[in-house]
Amino acid sequence: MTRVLTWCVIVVTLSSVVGRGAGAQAAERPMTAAELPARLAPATRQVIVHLGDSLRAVGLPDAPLYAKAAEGVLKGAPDARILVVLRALARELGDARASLGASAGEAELVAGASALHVGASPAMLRQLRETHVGAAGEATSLATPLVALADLLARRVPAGVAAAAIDSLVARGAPSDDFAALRAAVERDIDAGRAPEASVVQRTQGLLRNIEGRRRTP
Amino acid sequence: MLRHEQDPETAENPAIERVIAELRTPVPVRAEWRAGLARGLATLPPPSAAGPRFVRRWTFRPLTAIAAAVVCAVVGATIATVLLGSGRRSSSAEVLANLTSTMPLPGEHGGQSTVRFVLVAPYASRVSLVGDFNKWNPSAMPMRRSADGRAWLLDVPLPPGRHVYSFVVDGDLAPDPAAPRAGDDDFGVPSSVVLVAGAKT
Repeated sequence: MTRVLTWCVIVVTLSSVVGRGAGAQAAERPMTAAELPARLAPATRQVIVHLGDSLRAVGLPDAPLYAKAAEGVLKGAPDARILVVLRALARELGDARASLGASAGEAELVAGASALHVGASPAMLRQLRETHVGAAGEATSLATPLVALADLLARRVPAGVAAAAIDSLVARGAPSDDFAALRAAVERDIDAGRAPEASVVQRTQGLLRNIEGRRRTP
Repeated sequence: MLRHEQDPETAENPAIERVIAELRTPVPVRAEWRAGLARGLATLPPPSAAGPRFVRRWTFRPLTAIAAAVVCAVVGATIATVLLGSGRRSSSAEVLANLTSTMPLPGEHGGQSTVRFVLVAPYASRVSLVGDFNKWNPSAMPMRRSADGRAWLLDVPLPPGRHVYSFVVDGDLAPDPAAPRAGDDDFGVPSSVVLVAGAKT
Protein backbone atom coordinates (compact mmCIF):
# COMPACT_ATOMS: atom_id res chain seq x y z
CA MET A 1 0.00 0.00 0.00
CA THR A 2 2.79 2.39 0.92
CA ARG A 3 4.66 1.50 -2.22
CA VAL A 4 1.60 2.17 -4.39
CA LEU A 5 1.12 5.54 -2.69
CA THR A 6 4.77 6.33 -3.23
CA TRP A 7 4.64 5.67 -6.96
CA CYS A 8 1.38 7.61 -7.29
CA VAL A 9 3.01 10.66 -5.72
CA ILE A 10 6.09 10.34 -7.92
CA VAL A 11 4.01 10.01 -11.10
CA VAL A 12 1.82 13.00 -10.19
CA THR A 13 4.84 15.14 -9.35
CA LEU A 14 6.68 14.24 -12.55
CA SER A 15 3.61 14.79 -14.73
CA SER A 16 3.08 18.25 -13.26
CA VAL A 17 6.72 19.14 -13.91
CA VAL A 18 6.49 17.85 -17.49
CA GLY A 19 3.24 19.77 -17.98
CA ARG A 20 4.88 23.06 -16.99
CA GLY A 21 7.74 22.36 -19.35
CA ALA A 22 5.33 21.84 -22.22
CA GLY A 23 3.76 25.22 -21.47
CA ALA A 24 7.11 26.91 -21.87
CA GLN A 25 7.78 25.09 -25.12
CA ALA A 26 4.48 26.27 -26.54
CA ALA A 27 5.86 29.80 -26.71
CA GLU A 28 8.50 28.80 -29.21
CA ARG A 29 6.50 26.70 -31.67
CA PRO A 30 4.17 28.37 -34.17
CA MET A 31 0.56 27.30 -34.01
CA THR A 32 -0.76 24.88 -36.62
CA ALA A 33 -4.20 24.16 -38.04
CA ALA A 34 -4.37 20.95 -36.01
CA GLU A 35 -4.30 23.04 -32.83
CA LEU A 36 -7.34 25.14 -33.62
CA PRO A 37 -9.75 25.26 -30.65
CA ALA A 38 -12.31 22.46 -30.54
CA ARG A 39 -15.15 24.95 -30.02
CA LEU A 40 -15.05 26.00 -33.67
CA ALA A 41 -17.74 24.47 -35.86
CA PRO A 42 -16.43 21.99 -38.45
CA ALA A 43 -17.47 24.26 -41.31
CA THR A 44 -15.65 27.22 -39.74
CA ARG A 45 -12.59 25.11 -39.14
CA GLN A 46 -12.62 24.00 -42.76
CA VAL A 47 -12.69 27.61 -43.98
CA ILE A 48 -9.82 28.54 -41.66
CA VAL A 49 -7.71 25.60 -42.80
CA HIS A 50 -8.40 26.58 -46.42
CA LEU A 51 -7.33 30.18 -45.67
CA GLY A 52 -4.15 28.91 -44.01
CA ASP A 53 -3.36 26.65 -46.97
CA SER A 54 -3.81 29.62 -49.31
CA LEU A 55 -1.37 31.72 -47.29
CA ARG A 56 1.23 28.97 -47.18
CA ALA A 57 0.88 28.38 -50.90
CA VAL A 58 2.07 31.94 -51.60
CA GLY A 59 4.80 31.82 -48.98
CA LEU A 60 2.99 33.76 -46.25
CA PRO A 61 2.92 32.59 -42.61
CA ASP A 62 -0.28 30.84 -41.55
CA ALA A 63 0.43 30.65 -37.81
CA PRO A 64 -0.87 34.21 -37.15
CA LEU A 65 -4.17 33.15 -38.67
CA TYR A 66 -4.62 30.22 -36.27
CA ALA A 67 -3.52 32.29 -33.31
CA LYS A 68 -6.09 34.93 -34.22
CA ALA A 69 -8.78 32.26 -34.38
CA ALA A 70 -7.80 31.00 -30.94
CA GLU A 71 -7.95 34.57 -29.62
CA GLY A 72 -11.46 34.96 -31.00
CA VAL A 73 -12.58 31.72 -29.39
CA LEU A 74 -11.16 32.70 -26.00
CA LYS A 75 -12.86 36.09 -26.25
CA GLY A 76 -16.19 34.46 -27.00
CA ALA A 77 -16.59 35.77 -30.54
CA PRO A 78 -19.06 33.96 -32.80
CA ASP A 79 -17.64 31.92 -35.66
CA ALA A 80 -18.92 34.36 -38.28
CA ARG A 81 -17.06 37.23 -36.67
CA ILE A 82 -13.90 35.15 -36.40
CA LEU A 83 -14.02 34.39 -40.11
CA VAL A 84 -14.45 38.07 -40.99
CA VAL A 85 -11.39 38.96 -38.93
CA LEU A 86 -9.32 36.11 -40.36
CA ARG A 87 -10.13 37.03 -43.95
CA ALA A 88 -9.08 40.61 -43.24
CA LEU A 89 -5.85 39.40 -41.62
CA ALA A 90 -5.04 37.17 -44.59
CA ARG A 91 -5.58 40.09 -46.94
CA GLU A 92 -3.43 42.41 -44.81
CA LEU A 93 -0.60 39.89 -44.64
CA GLY A 94 -0.62 39.79 -48.44
CA ASP A 95 -0.70 43.59 -48.68
CA ALA A 96 2.14 43.86 -46.17
CA ARG A 97 4.30 41.53 -48.23
CA ALA A 98 3.48 43.47 -51.38
CA SER A 99 4.59 46.69 -49.64
CA LEU A 100 7.60 45.38 -47.72
CA GLY A 101 8.97 43.09 -50.39
CA ALA A 102 9.50 39.38 -50.77
CA SER A 103 12.44 39.42 -48.37
CA ALA A 104 10.29 40.59 -45.45
CA GLY A 105 10.41 38.23 -42.48
CA GLU A 106 7.40 36.88 -40.58
CA ALA A 107 7.77 39.40 -37.75
CA GLU A 108 7.82 42.26 -40.27
CA LEU A 109 4.81 40.91 -42.12
CA VAL A 110 2.78 40.55 -38.92
CA ALA A 111 3.77 44.03 -37.77
CA GLY A 112 3.03 45.47 -41.22
CA ALA A 113 -0.36 43.78 -41.32
CA SER A 114 -1.25 45.22 -37.92
CA ALA A 115 -0.20 48.71 -39.08
CA LEU A 116 -2.37 48.38 -42.19
CA HIS A 117 -5.23 47.16 -40.00
CA VAL A 118 -5.23 50.33 -37.89
CA GLY A 119 -4.98 52.82 -40.74
CA ALA A 120 -1.54 52.83 -42.33
CA SER A 121 -1.52 52.79 -46.10
CA PRO A 122 0.56 50.48 -48.30
CA ALA A 123 2.37 53.58 -49.55
CA MET A 124 3.47 54.40 -45.99
CA LEU A 125 4.88 50.91 -45.57
CA ARG A 126 6.72 51.14 -48.87
CA GLN A 127 8.21 54.50 -47.88
CA LEU A 128 9.34 53.11 -44.52
CA ARG A 129 10.97 50.14 -46.19
CA GLU A 130 12.86 52.33 -48.66
CA THR A 131 14.08 54.58 -45.87
CA HIS A 132 15.06 51.57 -43.77
CA VAL A 133 17.00 49.89 -46.57
CA GLY A 134 18.78 53.15 -47.28
CA ALA A 135 19.72 53.70 -43.65
CA ALA A 136 20.32 50.21 -42.26
CA GLY A 137 20.27 47.76 -45.17
CA GLU A 138 18.17 44.68 -45.83
CA ALA A 139 19.67 42.56 -43.08
CA THR A 140 18.08 44.32 -40.13
CA SER A 141 14.42 44.03 -39.20
CA LEU A 142 11.83 46.73 -39.75
CA ALA A 143 9.45 45.07 -37.28
CA THR A 144 10.10 47.48 -34.41
CA PRO A 145 9.35 50.68 -36.37
CA LEU A 146 6.26 49.04 -37.85
CA VAL A 147 4.98 48.06 -34.40
CA ALA A 148 5.60 51.59 -33.17
CA LEU A 149 3.66 52.94 -36.16
CA ALA A 150 0.75 50.59 -35.45
CA ASP A 151 0.72 51.59 -31.78
CA LEU A 152 0.66 55.31 -32.60
CA LEU A 153 -2.18 54.80 -35.06
CA ALA A 154 -4.07 52.76 -32.48
CA ARG A 155 -3.83 55.78 -30.14
CA ARG A 156 -5.49 57.91 -32.84
CA VAL A 157 -2.40 59.77 -33.94
CA PRO A 158 -3.08 61.05 -37.50
CA ALA A 159 -1.60 58.55 -39.97
CA GLY A 160 0.51 61.12 -41.84
CA VAL A 161 2.05 62.47 -38.63
CA ALA A 162 2.77 59.01 -37.24
CA ALA A 163 4.33 57.75 -40.47
CA ALA A 164 6.50 60.88 -40.81
CA ALA A 165 7.72 60.56 -37.23
CA ILE A 166 8.65 56.89 -37.60
CA ASP A 167 10.25 57.55 -40.98
CA SER A 168 12.46 60.30 -39.57
CA LEU A 169 13.66 58.01 -36.78
CA VAL A 170 14.30 55.15 -39.21
CA ALA A 171 16.27 57.50 -41.50
CA ARG A 172 18.62 58.35 -38.63
CA GLY A 173 19.11 54.75 -37.61
CA ALA A 174 17.30 55.05 -34.27
CA PRO A 175 17.71 51.96 -32.07
CA SER A 176 14.76 49.82 -30.94
CA ASP A 177 14.73 51.47 -27.54
CA ASP A 178 13.92 54.83 -29.14
CA PHE A 179 10.80 53.46 -30.81
CA ALA A 180 9.68 51.87 -27.55
CA ALA A 181 10.37 55.15 -25.75
CA LEU A 182 8.38 57.11 -28.33
CA ARG A 183 5.27 54.99 -28.10
CA ALA A 184 5.42 54.88 -24.29
CA ALA A 185 5.87 58.64 -24.01
CA VAL A 186 3.06 59.40 -26.45
CA GLU A 187 0.76 57.04 -24.58
CA ARG A 188 1.54 58.82 -21.32
CA ASP A 189 0.97 62.22 -22.92
CA ILE A 190 -2.36 61.19 -24.37
CA ASP A 191 -3.47 59.73 -21.05
CA ALA A 192 -2.52 63.07 -19.48
CA GLY A 193 -4.83 64.87 -21.90
CA ARG A 194 -2.35 66.10 -24.50
CA ALA A 195 -3.22 66.14 -28.21
CA PRO A 196 -1.77 63.03 -29.94
CA GLU A 197 -0.32 64.99 -32.86
CA ALA A 198 1.48 67.53 -30.66
CA SER A 199 2.85 64.79 -28.46
CA VAL A 200 4.27 62.79 -31.37
CA VAL A 201 5.92 65.85 -32.93
CA GLN A 202 7.54 66.99 -29.71
CA ARG A 203 8.66 63.54 -28.57
CA THR A 204 10.12 62.71 -31.97
CA GLN A 205 12.07 65.96 -32.05
CA GLY A 206 13.46 65.14 -28.63
CA LEU A 207 14.59 61.69 -29.75
CA LEU A 208 16.18 63.10 -32.92
CA ARG A 209 18.12 65.62 -30.85
CA ASN A 210 19.34 62.78 -28.63
CA ILE A 211 20.47 60.79 -31.67
CA GLU A 212 22.41 63.79 -32.97
CA GLY A 213 23.91 64.31 -29.54
CA ARG A 214 25.06 60.68 -29.36
CA ARG A 215 26.66 60.99 -32.78
CA ARG A 216 28.61 64.09 -31.81
CA THR A 217 29.82 62.51 -28.57
CA PRO A 218 32.87 60.34 -29.31
CA MET B 1 2.23 -17.06 49.57
CA LEU B 2 -1.25 -15.86 49.40
CA ARG B 3 -3.58 -16.83 52.05
CA HIS B 4 -6.91 -17.95 50.77
CA GLU B 5 -9.81 -16.93 52.81
CA GLN B 6 -12.13 -19.89 52.93
CA ASP B 7 -15.61 -19.42 51.66
CA PRO B 8 -18.09 -20.53 54.30
CA GLU B 9 -20.06 -22.45 51.68
CA THR B 10 -17.04 -24.50 50.50
CA ALA B 11 -15.21 -24.86 53.79
CA GLU B 12 -17.02 -28.00 54.75
CA ASN B 13 -17.21 -29.58 51.23
CA PRO B 14 -14.61 -32.39 50.94
CA ALA B 15 -14.82 -32.60 47.14
CA ILE B 16 -13.90 -28.97 46.76
CA GLU B 17 -11.19 -29.38 49.35
CA ARG B 18 -9.66 -32.14 47.20
CA VAL B 19 -9.72 -30.04 44.06
CA ILE B 20 -8.05 -27.18 45.85
CA ALA B 21 -5.37 -29.49 47.22
CA GLU B 22 -4.78 -30.89 43.73
CA LEU B 23 -4.39 -27.43 42.23
CA ARG B 24 -1.89 -26.44 44.93
CA THR B 25 0.37 -29.37 44.11
CA PRO B 26 3.50 -28.11 42.19
CA VAL B 27 3.70 -29.13 38.53
CA PRO B 28 6.78 -31.18 37.81
CA VAL B 29 9.17 -29.48 35.29
CA ARG B 30 11.72 -31.40 33.32
CA ALA B 31 15.30 -30.74 34.37
CA GLU B 32 16.45 -29.98 30.75
CA TRP B 33 13.71 -27.34 30.34
CA ARG B 34 14.76 -25.66 33.52
CA ALA B 35 18.43 -25.71 32.44
CA GLY B 36 17.52 -24.24 29.02
CA LEU B 37 15.56 -21.42 30.63
CA ALA B 38 18.49 -20.67 32.92
CA ARG B 39 20.90 -20.50 29.94
CA GLY B 40 18.58 -18.19 28.06
CA LEU B 41 18.29 -15.82 30.99
CA ALA B 42 22.05 -15.84 31.43
CA THR B 43 22.58 -14.56 27.85
CA LEU B 44 20.31 -11.50 28.30
CA PRO B 45 22.07 -8.16 28.96
CA PRO B 46 21.76 -6.77 32.45
CA PRO B 47 18.89 -4.32 32.88
CA SER B 48 19.93 -0.66 32.65
CA ALA B 49 18.56 1.83 35.10
CA ALA B 50 18.50 4.71 32.60
CA GLY B 51 17.62 2.91 29.41
CA PRO B 52 14.19 2.35 28.03
CA ARG B 53 12.37 -0.75 29.11
CA PHE B 54 11.01 -1.32 25.63
CA VAL B 55 12.99 -0.56 22.48
CA ARG B 56 11.10 -0.19 19.21
CA ARG B 57 12.94 -0.63 15.98
CA TRP B 58 12.21 1.90 13.17
CA THR B 59 13.21 1.11 9.63
CA PHE B 60 13.91 4.02 7.22
CA ARG B 61 12.63 3.74 3.66
CA PRO B 62 13.69 6.69 1.44
CA LEU B 63 10.82 6.44 -1.05
CA THR B 64 8.26 6.29 1.72
CA ALA B 65 9.84 9.29 3.41
CA ILE B 66 9.81 11.30 0.13
CA ALA B 67 6.23 10.33 -0.56
CA ALA B 68 5.17 11.33 2.92
CA ALA B 69 6.97 14.67 2.58
CA VAL B 70 5.32 15.42 -0.77
CA VAL B 71 1.88 14.48 0.52
CA CYS B 72 2.38 16.68 3.58
CA ALA B 73 3.54 19.59 1.38
CA VAL B 74 0.58 19.26 -0.98
CA VAL B 75 -1.91 19.00 1.86
CA GLY B 76 -0.30 21.93 3.65
CA ALA B 77 -0.26 24.09 0.54
CA THR B 78 -3.89 23.26 -0.19
CA ILE B 79 -4.97 24.14 3.33
CA ALA B 80 -2.93 27.37 3.23
CA THR B 81 -4.40 28.32 -0.14
CA VAL B 82 -7.94 27.72 1.05
CA LEU B 83 -7.41 29.63 4.30
CA LEU B 84 -5.56 32.56 2.72
CA GLY B 85 -7.89 32.66 -0.26
CA SER B 86 -10.98 32.86 1.87
CA GLY B 87 -9.39 35.66 3.85
CA ARG B 88 -8.75 37.89 0.85
CA ARG B 89 -11.65 37.02 -1.40
CA SER B 90 -12.87 39.93 -3.50
CA SER B 91 -15.38 40.40 -6.23
CA SER B 92 -14.17 40.08 -9.80
CA ALA B 93 -14.79 43.78 -10.41
CA GLU B 94 -12.67 44.72 -7.41
CA VAL B 95 -9.86 42.45 -8.52
CA LEU B 96 -9.80 43.87 -12.04
CA ALA B 97 -10.04 47.45 -10.81
CA ASN B 98 -6.88 47.06 -8.74
CA LEU B 99 -4.55 45.86 -11.44
CA THR B 100 -1.26 47.53 -12.09
CA SER B 101 1.68 46.21 -13.97
CA THR B 102 5.18 46.91 -15.08
CA MET B 103 6.01 47.12 -18.74
CA PRO B 104 7.13 43.74 -20.09
CA LEU B 105 10.90 43.74 -20.27
CA PRO B 106 12.22 41.83 -23.26
CA GLY B 107 15.71 40.50 -23.18
CA GLU B 108 16.61 41.47 -19.67
CA HIS B 109 15.98 38.25 -17.86
CA GLY B 110 17.73 35.03 -18.56
CA GLY B 111 18.48 35.54 -22.23
CA GLN B 112 18.01 37.73 -25.24
CA SER B 113 14.42 36.82 -25.97
CA THR B 114 13.01 36.16 -22.52
CA VAL B 115 10.23 38.52 -21.55
CA ARG B 116 9.24 39.05 -17.92
CA PHE B 117 5.54 39.72 -17.44
CA VAL B 118 4.52 41.26 -14.13
CA LEU B 119 1.01 42.02 -12.94
CA VAL B 120 0.28 43.56 -9.56
CA ALA B 121 -2.97 42.00 -8.46
CA PRO B 122 -2.83 41.35 -4.71
CA TYR B 123 -6.47 40.32 -4.47
CA ALA B 124 -6.42 37.83 -7.33
CA SER B 125 -6.35 34.16 -6.50
CA ARG B 126 -5.34 32.89 -9.95
CA VAL B 127 -3.60 34.65 -12.83
CA SER B 128 -2.38 33.26 -16.13
CA LEU B 129 -0.92 34.67 -19.31
CA VAL B 130 -2.52 34.14 -22.73
CA GLY B 131 -1.37 35.30 -26.12
CA ASP B 132 -0.49 34.40 -29.65
CA PHE B 133 2.59 32.66 -28.24
CA ASN B 134 0.61 30.04 -26.33
CA LYS B 135 -2.43 29.61 -28.55
CA TRP B 136 -4.50 31.77 -26.17
CA ASN B 137 -4.74 28.82 -23.84
CA PRO B 138 -5.55 29.99 -20.27
CA SER B 139 -4.08 26.88 -18.69
CA ALA B 140 -0.79 26.93 -20.60
CA MET B 141 1.05 29.61 -18.63
CA PRO B 142 -0.07 30.11 -15.04
CA MET B 143 1.78 32.98 -13.38
CA ARG B 144 3.43 32.59 -9.99
CA ARG B 145 2.78 34.84 -7.04
CA SER B 146 5.68 36.96 -5.85
CA ALA B 147 7.20 36.46 -2.43
CA ASP B 148 5.29 39.41 -0.95
CA GLY B 149 2.03 38.12 -2.40
CA ARG B 150 1.22 41.31 -4.32
CA ALA B 151 2.46 40.63 -7.83
CA TRP B 152 2.27 37.80 -10.32
CA LEU B 153 5.31 36.97 -12.41
CA LEU B 154 6.22 34.90 -15.42
CA ASP B 155 9.28 34.74 -17.67
CA VAL B 156 8.47 33.64 -21.21
CA PRO B 157 10.92 32.99 -24.04
CA LEU B 158 9.55 34.78 -27.11
CA PRO B 159 10.84 35.01 -30.66
CA PRO B 160 11.48 38.50 -32.09
CA GLY B 161 8.38 40.26 -33.32
CA ARG B 162 5.06 41.68 -32.22
CA HIS B 163 3.11 39.60 -29.70
CA VAL B 164 -0.47 40.21 -28.62
CA TYR B 165 -1.32 39.02 -25.12
CA SER B 166 -3.59 39.45 -22.15
CA PHE B 167 -3.89 38.31 -18.55
CA VAL B 168 -6.60 36.02 -17.25
CA VAL B 169 -7.38 37.16 -13.70
CA ASP B 170 -9.69 34.82 -11.82
CA GLY B 171 -11.22 33.78 -15.12
CA ASP B 172 -11.64 37.27 -16.60
CA LEU B 173 -9.53 38.66 -19.44
CA ALA B 174 -7.63 41.80 -18.54
CA PRO B 175 -5.19 43.74 -20.75
CA ASP B 176 -1.81 44.75 -19.37
CA PRO B 177 -2.27 48.18 -17.75
CA ALA B 178 1.37 49.09 -18.45
CA ALA B 179 1.69 48.02 -22.06
CA PRO B 180 0.32 49.53 -25.28
CA ARG B 181 -3.09 48.29 -26.31
CA ALA B 182 -3.29 46.21 -29.45
CA GLY B 183 -4.86 48.23 -32.21
CA ASP B 184 -6.48 45.18 -33.72
CA ASP B 185 -8.96 44.40 -30.95
CA ASP B 186 -11.31 42.77 -33.41
CA PHE B 187 -13.31 40.83 -30.88
CA GLY B 188 -14.38 43.64 -28.60
CA VAL B 189 -12.03 42.71 -25.76
CA PRO B 190 -8.79 44.70 -25.56
CA SER B 191 -5.38 43.05 -25.54
CA SER B 192 -1.86 44.33 -25.12
CA VAL B 193 1.22 44.28 -27.31
CA VAL B 194 4.81 43.46 -26.48
CA LEU B 195 7.57 43.91 -28.99
CA VAL B 196 10.61 41.70 -28.91
CA ALA B 197 13.40 43.26 -30.90
CA GLY B 198 15.85 41.03 -32.65
CA ALA B 199 17.30 39.87 -35.89
CA LYS B 200 15.17 39.64 -38.99
CA THR B 201 12.90 36.59 -38.89
